[in-house]
Amino acid sequence: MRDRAAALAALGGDLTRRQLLRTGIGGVLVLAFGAVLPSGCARYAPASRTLRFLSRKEYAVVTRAAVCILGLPDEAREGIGTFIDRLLADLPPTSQGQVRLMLRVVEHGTHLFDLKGRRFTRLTPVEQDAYLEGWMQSSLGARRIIFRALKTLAALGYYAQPEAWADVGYDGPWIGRVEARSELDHEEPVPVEAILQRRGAV
Amino acid sequence: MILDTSTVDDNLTLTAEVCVIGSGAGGAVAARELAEAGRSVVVVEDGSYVRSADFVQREETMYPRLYRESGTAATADYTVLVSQGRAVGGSTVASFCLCVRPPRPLLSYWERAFELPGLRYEAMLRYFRKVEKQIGARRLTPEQLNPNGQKLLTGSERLGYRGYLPFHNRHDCLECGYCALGCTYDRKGDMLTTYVPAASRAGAVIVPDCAVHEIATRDGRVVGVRGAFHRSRTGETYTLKVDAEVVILAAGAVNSPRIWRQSRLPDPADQVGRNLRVHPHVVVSALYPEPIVAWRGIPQGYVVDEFLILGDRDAGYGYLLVPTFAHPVVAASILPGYGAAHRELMRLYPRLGGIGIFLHDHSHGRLEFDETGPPTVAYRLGATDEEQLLDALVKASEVSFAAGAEKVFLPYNDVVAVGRRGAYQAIRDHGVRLNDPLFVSYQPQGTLRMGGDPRRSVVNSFGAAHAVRNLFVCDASVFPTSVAVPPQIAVMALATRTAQHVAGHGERYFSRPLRRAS
Repeated sequence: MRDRAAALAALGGDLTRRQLLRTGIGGVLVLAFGAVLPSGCARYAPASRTLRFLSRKEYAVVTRAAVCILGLPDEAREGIGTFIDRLLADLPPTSQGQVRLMLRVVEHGTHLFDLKGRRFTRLTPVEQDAYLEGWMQSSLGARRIIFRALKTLAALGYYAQPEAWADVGYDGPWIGRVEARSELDHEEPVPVEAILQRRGAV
Repeated sequence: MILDTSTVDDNLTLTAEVCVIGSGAGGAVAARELAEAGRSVVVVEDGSYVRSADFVQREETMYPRLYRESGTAATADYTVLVSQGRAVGGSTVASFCLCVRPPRPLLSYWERAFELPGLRYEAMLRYFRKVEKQIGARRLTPEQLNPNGQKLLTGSERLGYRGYLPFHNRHDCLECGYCALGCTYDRKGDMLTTYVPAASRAGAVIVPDCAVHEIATRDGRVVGVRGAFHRSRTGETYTLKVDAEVVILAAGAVNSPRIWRQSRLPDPADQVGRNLRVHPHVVVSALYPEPIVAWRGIPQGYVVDEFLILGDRDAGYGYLLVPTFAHPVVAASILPGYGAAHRELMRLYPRLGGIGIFLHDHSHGRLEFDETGPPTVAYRLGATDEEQLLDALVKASEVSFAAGAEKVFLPYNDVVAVGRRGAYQAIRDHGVRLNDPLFVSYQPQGTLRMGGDPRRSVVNSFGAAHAVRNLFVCDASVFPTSVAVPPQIAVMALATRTAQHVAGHGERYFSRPLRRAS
């Protein structure tokens, strides 16, 4: 499980339009679909905390999907949502845009992929599970990509929190728990003036 | 000296004899060699200068801090995640410290098939020895194996599979297990603790937080490097201009070709960005009856090379098996399954072990470029490599069962478990399909490959560009094929060779004689 790279896949700019498009006609469909979807939030309940990045709609989608994918109780949503919102707020705009597109496609993909009349957050819990599992097992590469990204986001939102560790038996970082420190004195960086004086800029 | 980029408040111009792009296994080595040889050197690094005090052992903090694009880029179809370091010290800061020399038969093959005189093992030996000494490479002892490593050793020995305790570049290791997040205790002989400070002591200037967008040329010869800071005192973006007589390109197998292409450097044979090998990596997870707490201890302490088939007549084929594990965020994101099944698997976390497969790939992809952003990586496993991968999944499962596993989980999206030894039809049934399993590449290579024939290579055996004078490449881009093993030693040794070549031919590459003797 060294695949640490998977951890931030959804956040790292890898879910680009270009990449999705290259997954073939399925990718084109998914993205074209995402581009015309509504982004309003009027029908979504406000989050219990002030959000920095996620809209109410995006918060509802990502937290509901996260608890479904990770098999968590509904109460976990608030903690996950707050954590993810904070992480996403610090991402570059391109990556933020990709996450927004992904969440929009997941919310409204019910119409396209499951022929349902209701969006994802309006489905029953059983329907939501069936819908998301459909993304995981889809024969369409673009849908599996989005599921991967969503799962990664969920894993970050939940398992990065110390509160989640006891349940899986992880005892957390060593820092502060063992008597050990670096014995190396790293060089201190110098101001630009020092470089210029020494090197002689043109 | 290392520049504090929080003090930059204007465009900056520097002059040097050598400008090195990148401070990882290739760039740091070249910088030190040339600075110690008496040449003035500026190193430009895209990543930040983060030190052990910044290594907080938390995944969500460290991956964005140490990895390019907050952790990874992916191939066009998301089949392979390409993970590369982005910090002063490059990928070595987050490496698992495996120090394996490139295999002797492979070097012979490279030398003969790609017309690369001087690359055979015996000729490279002095470079291997030098870099191993500098980074403190030593052989792991059986006592240093963590329980996950012990499982691989036990299982493979019971099956009679060949393996070895590899060299690693740790000293006085506390065995906390956080190597991939940077060593909090500086017990790793990475570039950050060895070659970068040595280069600085020898007079090199290290400029972090600066993305290079152009290698400037005049009349077919490099004249410097142009970049832009992404950190400054004012928050504004300022430019960096380094006027230099020699440029060493060492930004990694994805970024080096990008810089080449964005600089509009000549590519007469259309080779830049081609021949990409990714050394694909997947993990087979195993459930053991007892807790093995695989996130603690030295993470990759044993190597099974029984299935790596090499000869000097071709590039060979096969794979390595290496013990592998991850902290909870990554574990949760890659463990298979959905909902309750996934959570059940996560609750087994302390009893899970993992065997990583590193495929010596024949398949080759390419980078596709646009004007600005990172290139798109196009890569798909070919039929031969798919066969090898399926074989590797079976062998990793076999080893796990031989080591006492109760169950094995395969690296697919959905839970595909094998409950007993020999029941591997599930692997054949599932096969390999687009991004399932998802591969990770920590070691992309080959995109500016070396060779004697400019019609099918970009640089020669010294990393010198065929088509641009005084431009050298010092990273895994230059490998003619997959190097088959973790590439750190190969990159460092080749960089040493290149730098010593440049230093030893001052009259050819520099306008002034040496300032001082080496």
